[in-house]
Amino acid sequence: MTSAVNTAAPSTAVVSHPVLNVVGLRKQFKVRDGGRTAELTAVDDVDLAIAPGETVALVGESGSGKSTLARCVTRLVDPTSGSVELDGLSLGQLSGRQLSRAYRDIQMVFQDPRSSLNPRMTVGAMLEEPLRLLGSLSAPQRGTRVAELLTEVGLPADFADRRPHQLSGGQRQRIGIARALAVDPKVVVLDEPTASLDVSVRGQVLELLARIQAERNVAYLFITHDLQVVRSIADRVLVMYLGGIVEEGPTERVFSDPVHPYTKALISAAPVAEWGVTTERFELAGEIPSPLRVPPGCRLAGRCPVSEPDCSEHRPALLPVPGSRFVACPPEVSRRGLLEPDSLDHPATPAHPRSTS
Amino acid sequence: MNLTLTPNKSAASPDTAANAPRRRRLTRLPRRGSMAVGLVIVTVLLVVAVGSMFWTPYDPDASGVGLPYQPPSAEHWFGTDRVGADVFSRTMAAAATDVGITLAAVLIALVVGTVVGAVSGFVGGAVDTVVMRFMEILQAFPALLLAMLMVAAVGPGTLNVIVVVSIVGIPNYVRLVRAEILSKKHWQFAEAARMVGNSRSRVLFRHLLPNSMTPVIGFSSVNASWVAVIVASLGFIGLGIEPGSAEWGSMISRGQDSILSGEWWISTFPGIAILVLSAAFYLIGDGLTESGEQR
Amino acid sequence: MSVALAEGNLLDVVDYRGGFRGPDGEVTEVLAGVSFGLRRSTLTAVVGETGSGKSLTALSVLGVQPRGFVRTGGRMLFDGEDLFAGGPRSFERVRGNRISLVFQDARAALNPVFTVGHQLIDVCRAHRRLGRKEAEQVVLDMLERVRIPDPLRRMRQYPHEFSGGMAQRVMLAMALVSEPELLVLDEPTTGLDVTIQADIMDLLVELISSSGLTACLITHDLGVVAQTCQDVVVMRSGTVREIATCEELFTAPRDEYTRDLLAASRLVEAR
Repeated sequence: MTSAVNTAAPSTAVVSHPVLNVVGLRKQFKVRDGGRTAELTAVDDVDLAIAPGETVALVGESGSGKSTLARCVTRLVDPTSGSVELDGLSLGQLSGRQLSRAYRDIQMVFQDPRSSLNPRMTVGAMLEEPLRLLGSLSAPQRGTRVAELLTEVGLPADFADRRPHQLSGGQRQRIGIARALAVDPKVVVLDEPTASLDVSVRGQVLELLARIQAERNVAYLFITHDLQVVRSIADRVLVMYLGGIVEEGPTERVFSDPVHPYTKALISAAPVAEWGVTTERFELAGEIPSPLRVPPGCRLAGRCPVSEPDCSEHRPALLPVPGSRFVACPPEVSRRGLLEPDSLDHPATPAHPRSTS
Repeated sequence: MNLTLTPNKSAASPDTAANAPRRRRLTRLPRRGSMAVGLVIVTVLLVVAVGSMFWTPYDPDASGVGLPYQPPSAEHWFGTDRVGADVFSRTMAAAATDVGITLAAVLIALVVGTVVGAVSGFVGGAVDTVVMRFMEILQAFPALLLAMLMVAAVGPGTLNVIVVVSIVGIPNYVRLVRAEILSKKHWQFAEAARMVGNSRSRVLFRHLLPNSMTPVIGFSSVNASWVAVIVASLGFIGLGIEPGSAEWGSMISRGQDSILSGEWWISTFPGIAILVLSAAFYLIGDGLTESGEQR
Repeated sequence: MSVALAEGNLLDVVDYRGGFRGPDGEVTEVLAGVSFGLRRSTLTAVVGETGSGKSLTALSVLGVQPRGFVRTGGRMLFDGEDLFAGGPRSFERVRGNRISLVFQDARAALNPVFTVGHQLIDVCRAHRRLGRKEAEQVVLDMLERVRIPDPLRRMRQYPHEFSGGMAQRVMLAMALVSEPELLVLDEPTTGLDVTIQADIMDLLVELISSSGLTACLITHDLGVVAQTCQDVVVMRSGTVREIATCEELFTAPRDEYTRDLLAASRLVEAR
């Protein structure tokens, strides 16, 4: 049962005409590990598809490989293997100049609005740059467009003369968004765009992003660790752990009924700003291992409270469960979290004999 | 909020108005002041250097404009040397040589070192390894020894000295710029620049490099201070520019025998000139580095 | 906003004012009369966004202030004694002894060239007259209390060998080893992953309630506050906007800014 279903790309089963289609993406780095060169697999065989105008959140903690994945998708980093198709065009084979042209359709908003803006450039020059390098507008038209962009992200047009250090964090991030939108892309990859913002500013930026999406039908790949943000903005969510996707599905369903033990742990750990709402913690043992020591079987083996001996031998495939969802945990294991507590004390008893044929 | 955690002595008593700013001014002013002094000196020396091409009290290369070994006087401010040449005129003329060679060598080292360091850091991999090994070999020799060896190999001459001295300085720039680029290579504005359609070389030269130059400019002035000394040292040991031409190092060398017999002025004035030039560059560099760090 | 000085508070900050002196010598006020109290054996949160002055206020309790900060008025009553009145020495007397601090970035706060055990034992011996062996035992017990697995081996390791979460546990151990009465926590879980954050906060609550400590948690995260604290002080631009018990604050916020902050934290659907 394991090998036959392995080849199915879950996302593509859900999205019929994806604007962004990532298949089998893998990224390995060579790193020094105690004097020896070792292979670090930051992203391991990830499939991902996004429909036009859709928001897909990629959620994970540090070390999950989510930022590397974002950079592979935009080819700021060259993936080791796998393919990234943007509206039918494969990004993998493109030369430098062709890739620049492809950036008309895919753009990125960065995490740290302080370091993502060139400190020596004015806001106007920064917004004009994509128009000049990627667009086909004349100089006066570009000036008009810059003013429009500033208005669109809710800033006065005279901000064009300012430099980054004269802006607040929220304003900087609006500039980052305006820059990404300048060439009217079909996909925007947002790498933790609200992580360094105050909560009140976070809300405003998310509203802005939602409004822009409604107007332009742009698709978002939203990388974040903030579950509140995921819940408020994403149509679908992919949960990433140690380089692999462990659960995927419509946001509301994943949040209300997480299946994978890691998803459960993540959601139950997120603090809620409500009085008296105490979620029962689903606790994992220890901390996330180094990406150099990913367990050979299930990535969560060794930390998972419901794991079986078999879990550390075979890596579970991302398999469909009802409700357009996919989970990388065999149902007989993930369901064990719901059993009576005392039955957990006897994990060796094979309550559900597993077929490996 | 970014807090510098220093247990505050004045936490207990509300600070009386004047204390803090005065203390701050006391530590800041000398830096600014010394940088200004450095700038004034270099400017004066530049004016003298350029001016000496048009006018000097006597022909600097002519012997016998006065009697030999005359001490400083109203007629010959810095005295005369063994062949009766005017030391003041020669010191002026030598300013053109020394300041000119120093500036040219620093400029070449700055440009070449910056480009090589930037590319090496940005491209990385084998290119970087080869470049850095080569720089290490160059830096394995003491600067003056390396300069002497190379001038001895290629022969004396103004152009040769400039090239050799700049080569000695290049590794410093390469290392400095490479480190800056490496630290900023993955800054998000570099990635953002790539995403809006800049080619990789444009990302490097239009976005990363301009943001990496502050420490380089500061260093170049410090670099100039020891380049001036190396140039003069080469002149002193007779490996510099054509023998006989006005140059501070060779002037010291020619006057050194006379110091013991009492004719101190022949060596002393060019010596002071070297010291002043070198110190002035150092003061500027120190000030620039300091203000660069503060930003 | 005025606060009645409740009898028996461990710490009372009264009308604390101060600012930064600009190059022209003028003081730009960033704390405009901050007053609140910390009830004994209670975890109080000081909540605010960037520029609210929450860190500035809370760190002043230890006599720790950024360069250029000038106090222009106010009192800081610790166990009835005005720390400001007693001069710098009164801070030195309580700092690390009766008041401990946990920083946001634990790994940066630890000295990279000494083993963790070495640093903990040093702190322990500086504050309690103990022999080397006794101090070692105290530290070992403390590491167990903060649930660091394999503490004996961990004591011989250097800070860089610790993950962010483990380093924060070490910081916690270091803060507790001198048996303080007041623990100030400056954004202790900011930058840590949510699962680690939850572990640390669970641990904190347990340590505080089991030892009767008074603690002050500086944070921007109302979610963390709701799950852990008893009292809440909401700050904005150098003023206190609301002081309430946790239940009051989340069920019936009085101040308009508090309500905005709550709405923003809960993130009503942006779609």
